[in-house]
Amino acid sequence: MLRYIIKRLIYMVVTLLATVVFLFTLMEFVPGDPALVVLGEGATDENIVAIHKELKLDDPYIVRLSRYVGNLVQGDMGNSYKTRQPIAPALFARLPLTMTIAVWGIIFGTIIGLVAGVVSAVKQYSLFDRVLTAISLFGASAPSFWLAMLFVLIFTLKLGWLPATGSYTFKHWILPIATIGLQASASITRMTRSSMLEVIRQDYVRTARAKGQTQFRVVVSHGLRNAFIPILTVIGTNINGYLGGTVLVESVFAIPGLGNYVLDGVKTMDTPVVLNGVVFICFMCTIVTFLVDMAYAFIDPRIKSTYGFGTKKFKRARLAKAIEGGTAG
Amino acid sequence: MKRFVSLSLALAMLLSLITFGLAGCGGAAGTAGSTQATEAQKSGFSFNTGDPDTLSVIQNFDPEVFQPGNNDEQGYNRIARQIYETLFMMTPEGEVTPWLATGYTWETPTRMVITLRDDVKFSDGSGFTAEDVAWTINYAKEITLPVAHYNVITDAEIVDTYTVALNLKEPCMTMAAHLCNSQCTIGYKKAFEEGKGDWLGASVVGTGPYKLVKYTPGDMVKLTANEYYWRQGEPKVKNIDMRIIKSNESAATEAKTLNYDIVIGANTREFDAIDAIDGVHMDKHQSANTVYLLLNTAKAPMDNVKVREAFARAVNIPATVKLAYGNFGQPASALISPNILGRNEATYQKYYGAGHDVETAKKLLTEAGFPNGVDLEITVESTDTQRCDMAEALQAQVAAAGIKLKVNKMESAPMREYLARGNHQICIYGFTSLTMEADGFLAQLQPGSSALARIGYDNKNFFKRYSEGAATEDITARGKVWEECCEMLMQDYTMIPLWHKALGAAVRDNVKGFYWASDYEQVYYQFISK
Repeated sequence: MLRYIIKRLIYMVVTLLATVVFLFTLMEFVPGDPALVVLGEGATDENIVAIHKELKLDDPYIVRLSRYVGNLVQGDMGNSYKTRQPIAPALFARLPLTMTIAVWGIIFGTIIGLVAGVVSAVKQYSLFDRVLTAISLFGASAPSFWLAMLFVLIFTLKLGWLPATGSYTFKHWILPIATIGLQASASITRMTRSSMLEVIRQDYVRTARAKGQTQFRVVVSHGLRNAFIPILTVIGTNINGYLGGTVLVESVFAIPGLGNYVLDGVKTMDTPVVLNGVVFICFMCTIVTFLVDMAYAFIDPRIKSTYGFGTKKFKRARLAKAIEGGTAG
Repeated sequence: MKRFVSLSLALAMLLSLITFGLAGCGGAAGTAGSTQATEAQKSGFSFNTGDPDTLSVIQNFDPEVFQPGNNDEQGYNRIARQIYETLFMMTPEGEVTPWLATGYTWETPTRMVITLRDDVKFSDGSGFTAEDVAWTINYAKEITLPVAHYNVITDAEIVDTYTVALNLKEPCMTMAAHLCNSQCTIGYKKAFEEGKGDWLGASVVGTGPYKLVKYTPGDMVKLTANEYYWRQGEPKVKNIDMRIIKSNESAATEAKTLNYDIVIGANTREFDAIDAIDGVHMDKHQSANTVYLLLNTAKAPMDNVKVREAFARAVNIPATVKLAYGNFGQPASALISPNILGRNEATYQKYYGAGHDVETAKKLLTEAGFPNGVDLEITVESTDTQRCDMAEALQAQVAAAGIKLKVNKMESAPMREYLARGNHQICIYGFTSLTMEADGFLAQLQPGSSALARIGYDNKNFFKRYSEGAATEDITARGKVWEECCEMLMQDYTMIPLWHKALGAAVRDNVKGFYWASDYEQVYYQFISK
């Protein structure tokens, strides 16, 4: 297992480094003079020259890349062109809000998605299955900003039950999390249903039923557990997507999350904000991917055993397989 | 089974702990204060509209930092101006009045001597002196802050404790009006030095009616009254809670919920719907900003004056404005907005009075060598829905005259750069007469300014007359020069005025004293009561 973790960690570092170099290089191709971003409407030729000197914009690409990577490794993300303030504190201040929407949205979506997907699979072609399939199709195809605005219209302006914007109390979080959750649940429902349909037709499920196990135990222990790997992949992909992609929901509910921060950077051509924001989101995504990889190993003993730190039972099974194949384990 | 269930539960709990842990430790910057959640819980989700001591406001700009002159956006300065103040201020009637200053004299045409009030204190109780004024201006120039008003200043010099002199590169008789602008607020040298330039905390000390209590990035600014404020009886409301909502749709929604006293930044299309709600009204005011079609005279085929004139004839301004803004604001009736020195409706009538005339447009295009029509491109900011609507309306109108107009929608900052490089043929852009005189926008069309490339104008006489106007002390004579400069711009069809902008805010009926300052679209909360 340790070998597995180390291998994944090495992948993570290499991916991150490659991403940083790629993004920095990409930003080089963004047209525009940062001096004009700093100086705004009243830029004069004289001031543009001064800003170029101050920001060392005329240094060669490789010098600036080395300086950026060197500073980043030390935790220094540099300053925003627009505000001239450090970027790191601004990013970290926004992280909790995005995390709250993304993680709670996913938890909410996963609960709904798993239950709906399992029931749909078990009751295949029933009215319940058809209704759930239609709802999940709607959830997957409705844009998040539209869902968000629909919720505001119904629950704020018509019924007056919930606040329209903000992130201060439990009530404020309901609509953003419901928006994300409903979207996430659609893909999880669909994946759970198709994955479960494959698994519940397997011999071992039939055997479990024949042994007289309860329906709940058959479905959850033998069915869902074996169907969970692709579902986990979808959950991981969703978390990654929502870490950087809740911007529309953040915008409608006026939640100052990471997505909004990076979007503002894009609008004002504040390239250090965009670069560091995207690098930071990539960093978060690699961590999530790493955690999902770890979860695979816990859920699927075959992965764990591949790396030599499996349970005794699987070690024995692997040894038996090796002997059977005529090779030494 | 057990392991699977316990693993799922553990994962869910871990994620919850991470998010709540993060929510607990992050999210707030600025000075001390109780947590945001606690305050919000106290007031539910309505932001203290019932509390006479607190004004709840929605702003559409996140300041990110509280440094005098750090940003040239009106929205930024609408917040910073509550903490810092200017030497002069524009009255609602558009007249320059001393504020932190008591007056000024011109020692020479390039040396302005300003005397300061001796009873002004910063919010920490220390006295305000000439040292702070000189430091603010010199520091802004040293680190190249985006304050265009300081471009003409060489340096600021302390004469004595309450007198400061500004040395200028060239005469600028409207300097006092420039110094009214909220970009020219005065900081506190000692707080800057002791706070080591912490513009989110220790260095944020001004002479303004309010002081910063807490700033939550992207979300909220909390201000409270400066107990050392030099104007007796102000501010009238002790606290301001400013929510930052950038989406104009969301701001409009909040205006309809009546959860806030003042909402700035609501979508103009929702103004009538908001006005129809009991308990709130739209406070509308004429701005000093006019939106133009800027024709780049340096870019072919717009370098041909006949093509520019043909375009001016092909557009239907009243119909375009009606479509985009309804009855809000007014279609242009001169090159600059009403109440601005240098405005002349007669010269506007002379050049643009004939209005929409497709046949004349076709004839002019033929004379220009385009008998079969011409392909042109109009650049417009993609996030400004009204301007995008206008561009599409114009596209349909000019087609009748044989002009195939392509609409190029760009984000704000890339667009600024695109225009600064003179890559466009036509664009929709606004200019504000910041000094309530035409020079407020004419100054931006002078050599050395990046804004000049928007019209690519190269008329030596225009530049010469502008310099002469800037050096003219007599206001009436100066007004005549500004009229002359405006006429040159119209005569050469460099810009077609479209819409004299109006400002609007949703204000609850119990809020008194709200007004917009036309010059820079500012709001002075110190005069507002509930």
